[in-house]
Amino acid sequence: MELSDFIRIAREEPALGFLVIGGYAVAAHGHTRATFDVDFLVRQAEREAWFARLTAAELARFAETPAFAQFTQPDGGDGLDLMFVDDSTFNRMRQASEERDFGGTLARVPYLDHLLALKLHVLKQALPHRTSKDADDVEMLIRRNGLDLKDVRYEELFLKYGTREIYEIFLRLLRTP
Amino acid sequence: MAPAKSTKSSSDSCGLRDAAPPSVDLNLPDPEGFRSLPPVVSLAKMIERNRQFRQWFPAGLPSAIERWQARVTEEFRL
Repeated sequence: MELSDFIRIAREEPALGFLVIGGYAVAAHGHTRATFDVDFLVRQAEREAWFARLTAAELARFAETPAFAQFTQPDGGDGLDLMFVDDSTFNRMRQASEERDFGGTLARVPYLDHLLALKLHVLKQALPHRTSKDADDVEMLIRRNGLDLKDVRYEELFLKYGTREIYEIFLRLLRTP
Repeated sequence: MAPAKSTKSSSDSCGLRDAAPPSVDLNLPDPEGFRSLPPVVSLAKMIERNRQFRQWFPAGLPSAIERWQARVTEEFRL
C-alpha cells in the first residue's frame, strides 16, 4: 500500500477526515524529496475509528502516544503515521487547506503557512534523527515559494510555533547577497 | 635501483593505497549568491521515484524503530 491506498481507506464510508502532511505535503508546496512514509493529520475524536479502519486494512499499530500513532505494513511497504489534533485545530486547517493531485488521486494539504507552523513545531522540539530534514524542508518551502522572512507575518509565525533562535538561524541562512 | 612496483594484488597490499590521491581542484561554480536547488518534479513523478527507490535500495529505508524515534511528542495546536 502507498499514499493512494491510504487515501482510499480513509474515504471508505463513513469517511474519516484527514490532511496529507509530511513529505508529500512539502512536495505539494514545491519542494520534492524522497519520502517513504505517509503522514496524515487527523482528529483526536476519530482516533478509535482510525485504529479500527487501519487494523481492518491489515496495517499493524507499531506504537502510539496521545499525539501520534505509527502503523506499518507486514510486507514492508510505506508506513502510515497519524498526527492527532483537536477539532478546533483540524477544522481551521481543513478550511484553509488546498486540494492537490497526487498522481491521479486528489487529496488536501495544509495551507503553506500552516505547514510551516507544523514544521516549526517539530523543529522547536529538536527531535533527534529528523532536525536536519525538517530544517531543509522549511528552508526550501521559503525559497520555492519566494517568502519574505523579514515580513512581520513570518516573524510572528516563527515566534509562535518556533523560537527566536530558529527565526534568526533562518534569517541568516536565507540572507540575500 | 628501486624495485619495480608490482601490480599483482595480494592480501597485504592495495592498489588504491599506492595510487596518487585524486585532485581536489574541481573548479566548482562559486559565483556571488550561487545556490543549487534540487529539481522540481510532478507529484506523480515523485511517487514513482519513491517507489523505485524503495525497490532499488531497500536496505536504506528507515526502520519502524527509526520512524518511531523521529515521532512528534508534543501535540500541535493552531
